[in-house]
Amino acid sequence: MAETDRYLGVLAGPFALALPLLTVRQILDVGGSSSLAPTDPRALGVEPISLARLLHKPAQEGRPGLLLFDGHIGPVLLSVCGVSGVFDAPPPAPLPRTVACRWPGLVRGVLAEAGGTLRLVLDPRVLMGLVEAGA
Amino acid sequence: MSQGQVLLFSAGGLRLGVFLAEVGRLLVEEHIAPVPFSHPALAGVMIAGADGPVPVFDLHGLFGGTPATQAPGATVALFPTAKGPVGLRLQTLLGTIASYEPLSESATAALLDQAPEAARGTLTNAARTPEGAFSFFSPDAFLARVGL
Repeated sequence: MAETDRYLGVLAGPFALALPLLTVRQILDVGGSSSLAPTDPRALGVEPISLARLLHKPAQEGRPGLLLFDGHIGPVLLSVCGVSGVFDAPPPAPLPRTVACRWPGLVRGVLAEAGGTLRLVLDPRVLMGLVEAGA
Repeated sequence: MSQGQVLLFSAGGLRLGVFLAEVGRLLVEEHIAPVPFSHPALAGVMIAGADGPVPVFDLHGLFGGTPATQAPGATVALFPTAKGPVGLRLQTLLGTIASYEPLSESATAALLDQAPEAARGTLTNAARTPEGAFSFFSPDAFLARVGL
């Protein structure tokens, strides 16, 4: 049996992404029309940062999902365009060296879902660094 | 006339050709994942069977346009390069030819002048078929042009 990790699938603008589930402190709202969860009191005072805009792309319209992370210097609330669920997957295939990203290490690799959809796995530590650098 | 199997296609609005021997495979784009903070000409990565994830470039991005996030059904030419396989999204696959008439130096220069400036380093010679002129596309020069 191949070793698997548990991921949270999210959508941020045009990007289909996967975040290691253990690094997400709390899913405050899955967004869309399926949930109208109240904002967690612990998140009050923390302004959500759009993950799509953090990645320099426009966010999609609609009620965003809200995810709470432990950043390097405090809590970080990220809004995403959609939360597509939790899934187990083997380690991602690393990106080839012909794919250069301006934030090295941000993308750990790519996962292929059963239906063929590809998701990029983000490194949460680098992502929090991106948040705190203000991209 | 010169002999040689050449794959003819259009990409980024240009009529281009590449020697068939330089083409690893032709794939049909199904699923592609755009990559944040990457080169504007990179449409994303796709899984190319045993080759795993490969980059798919779109010449529109090199010329200042925005490549389509998804182009299901588009043909992707996979070029083996020293840095690994690299995909190029083709606008239209025009077919193959076995012979062509090389253009003179001045005619080649005139054709290059019509191409966007960003494309010029990626194009080498030019030639003609009964259907019209085309420029030879160099995958390695393209990679150098996008800084890889």
